[in-house]
Amino acid sequence: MSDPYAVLGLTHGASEEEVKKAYRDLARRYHPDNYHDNPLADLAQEKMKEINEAYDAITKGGASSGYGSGGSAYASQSQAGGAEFSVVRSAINSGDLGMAERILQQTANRNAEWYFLMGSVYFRRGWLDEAVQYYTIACEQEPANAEYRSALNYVTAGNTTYRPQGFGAAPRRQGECDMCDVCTAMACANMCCRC
Amino acid sequence: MFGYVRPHYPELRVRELELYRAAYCGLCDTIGRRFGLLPRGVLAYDFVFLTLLLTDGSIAPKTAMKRCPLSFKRRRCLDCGATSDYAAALGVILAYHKLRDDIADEKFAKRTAARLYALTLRRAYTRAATEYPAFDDAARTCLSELSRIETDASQPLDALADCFARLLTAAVPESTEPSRKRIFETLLYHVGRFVYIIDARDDVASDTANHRPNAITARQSRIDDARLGATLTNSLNIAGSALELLPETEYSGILRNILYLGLPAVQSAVFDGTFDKTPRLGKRERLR
Repeated sequence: MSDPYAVLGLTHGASEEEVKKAYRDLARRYHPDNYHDNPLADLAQEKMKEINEAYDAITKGGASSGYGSGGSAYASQSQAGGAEFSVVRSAINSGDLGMAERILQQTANRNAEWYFLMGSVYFRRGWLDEAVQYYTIACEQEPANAEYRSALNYVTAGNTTYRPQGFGAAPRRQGECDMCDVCTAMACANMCCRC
Repeated sequence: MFGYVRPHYPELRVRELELYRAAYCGLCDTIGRRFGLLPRGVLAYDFVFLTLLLTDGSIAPKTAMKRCPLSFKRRRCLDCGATSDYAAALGVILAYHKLRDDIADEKFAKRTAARLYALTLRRAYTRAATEYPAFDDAARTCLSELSRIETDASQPLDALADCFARLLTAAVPESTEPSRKRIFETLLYHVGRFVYIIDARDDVASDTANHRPNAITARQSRIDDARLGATLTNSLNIAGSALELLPETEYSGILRNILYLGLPAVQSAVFDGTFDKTPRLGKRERLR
């Protein structure tokens, strides 16, 4: 295994605090939540594993601690759908989008799960707007299904995922005001009030 | 179609701004050295991004002072070696195909201007295309497919953006190591998708005024800004997650600034109609 300190981006002799901080930062960066349905999820998972191993090697914890590397999104789901859909799910998981789409196109039974899986294929391919349309239909047909609902919420929320420090907020535009401006205004107003 | 992939200057560090300026001037210098004076006009922010992304960041940046033919001043130029040459050639190829498109689509005045500029670019293009035939083929097929399906209202916006996005993924060199290649392709796919959609959104007002078909307004389903905003944010999220998988380099700060701050700033400026393709900034912010 490569040098655990190098994996965490530290030099030898880094203090426990520094190791913890570096680990926490990297774990946040490669957390499975940021790679939800992402075509690069497997690479992030590998990184996560490397970081966990490096952290364990430094802290001598032995047993793997810290954040899990997360399972794939579809494998764990037990679904009532037919055998076709489970084939489609495993095709999506293995990244074979062409095959998944072919099977879906040949399926006559277009229920909520069909729309959901079609949406997943589009999402993986990068057709994000189409994915929203398909997820929406899936949710309309089966409003109680948590899996479909969470997929739809994820793509329509418009939230930004992980950003490194300093890149968090959207850039400030001219004319906007923040807490500092309010405080300054108060201080200035206070000066005028003194008699 | 170019000029959207730019950094958000106020948030760049001083050293990053210097480096970005050097990369900009360096790319211009490379185009001049390889293709001559007139093709320098194809220089665009997007290709500076491409250079900084594809170059090997483990080597310390190499800069040299060169004379700028526009201002006659000496400028610091970044030399990324083969990557600079590659980005310069890609810029020429893409600009030439864009001009061919303009000749086919635009009205008389713009068409004549495009024709004249295409004429001066012709030699540079032939040279660049013989050097990188794979990218030239990809550009030709993707753009012709795009102009074919753009008029078909039943095609979803994603299909249109996909054509342009695939064109950008063709910019990843074949020789790249497989997992790195996948990261680049995902990143460039979503940057390409962003650029296509934001360009179409930027043209909505002028296309409506001139009664020209527009990629967004011509769709069967109505697409409002909220829907566009959500899909663009998702694209930027995926592009960002790809960038985080690349090793830390000298240029990481600039690339992060472009993806996390520059593109969202461009998006909000395009949405509220204040986007300026040729920004007239203050002297300190101006990119020379």
